[in-house]
Amino acid sequence: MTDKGVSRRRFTQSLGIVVASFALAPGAVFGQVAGALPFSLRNNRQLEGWIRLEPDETVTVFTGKAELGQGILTALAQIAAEELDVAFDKIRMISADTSRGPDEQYTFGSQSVEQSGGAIRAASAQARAILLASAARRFGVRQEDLQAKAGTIASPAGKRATYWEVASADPELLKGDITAATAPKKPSDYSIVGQSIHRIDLPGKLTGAASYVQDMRLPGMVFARVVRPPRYGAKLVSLDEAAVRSLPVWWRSFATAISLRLLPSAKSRRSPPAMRWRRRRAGATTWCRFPIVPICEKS
Amino acid sequence: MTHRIIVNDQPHQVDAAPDTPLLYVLRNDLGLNGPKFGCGLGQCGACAAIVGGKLTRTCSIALRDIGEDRVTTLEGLGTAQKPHPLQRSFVEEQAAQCGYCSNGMIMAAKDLLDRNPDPSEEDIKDALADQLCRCGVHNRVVRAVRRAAEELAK
Repeated sequence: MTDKGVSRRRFTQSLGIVVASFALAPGAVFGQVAGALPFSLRNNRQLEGWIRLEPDETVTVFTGKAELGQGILTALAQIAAEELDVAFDKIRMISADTSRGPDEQYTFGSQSVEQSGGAIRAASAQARAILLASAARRFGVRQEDLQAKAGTIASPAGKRATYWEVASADPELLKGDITAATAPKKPSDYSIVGQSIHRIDLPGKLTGAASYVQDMRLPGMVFARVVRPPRYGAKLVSLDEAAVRSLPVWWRSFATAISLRLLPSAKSRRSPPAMRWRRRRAGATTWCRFPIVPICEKS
Repeated sequence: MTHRIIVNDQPHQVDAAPDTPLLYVLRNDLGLNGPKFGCGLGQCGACAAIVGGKLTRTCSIALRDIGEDRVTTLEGLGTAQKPHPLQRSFVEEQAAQCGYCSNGMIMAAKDLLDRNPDPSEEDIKDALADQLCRCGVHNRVVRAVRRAAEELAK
């Protein structure tokens, strides 16, 4: 290699230095420093966009991240239950519904607990504090004298109110923005986070409940299949549209894709039609590579 | 063309071409989610169901070839409220990561336990060898099948 080149070893060494500098940054424990706004809260400030108390005495928790088998819905529910001081089985998770919950962009890079968990931890801690403050006013006591356990607030004199009773008395109570000014619990005080518990998504997945994108069925929905070249470097030069039209009635060639010289697709009102498309489109596409002279083949 | 098909003990009339793969009928015409489209080529096992008593890759069998055979899918075994012992043991052992292969794993295990109620670990590995899982949850699956066999023996 030349002097100007960067060897792989040197490159990865420099990465190591960058990672180390992050790891050693002071106060880097995300979400535990009061006032530090977790990443996912920056564009999703409304408390109600993360946490709602429901009339049936459950708590709906929204995340912008999707369950892909990482177990994040379970982990995020644990975080919410922990910080709110409600029973774990009272948490209902809603995932990746940006019409009601936060937009957290992509689910990637092992960031879901870091980003969504950090936000849910801050939101839950703040919701709990708001509920306790409201109960303190109602009972005429100091907030720090109240105890919260399994969704019920108790005063030293024995007065009690559930979170849902407190919230229903003031519909505006949880409608503000999250400021992350409330310090979450210390890890040494955790009783739900850190427990190994069964994944909440598995019973559905193991019995055929709608769990995957493929299980969505919308009115008039069609399926598309990309037709790929038979070898590297091959470009589509022609497509026998008559052959495609001879396919059953629900097939459509994607005229715009063809005219743009993109890969042609076919739409179907049934599933991704691998075998049938493979069989019936045989010979309908012509692909060429251009090393010096064109080398073409039908596929 | 209209076909009569019995799935999970329910008769259905479906309007589909005779060469339609059974998987498409199960998922799109009957709205079932258990059988999954994985490879579409009979290689991964995610689409498995029991057809006429045999473990079958439903992506690779045409509707016309079903005949009078009854079809049992994952939904036909049990529900989240009332799970089959295999479904319960998969939960107990947490024997899934993404869960996309679980349908095939459970159906293949059902087929195994119907033939051999007391399978050894080797028997289970043999029976499930062609059910592909990319997450790497195999050891838990083997434990779950063993656990279900023991529960069914009680």
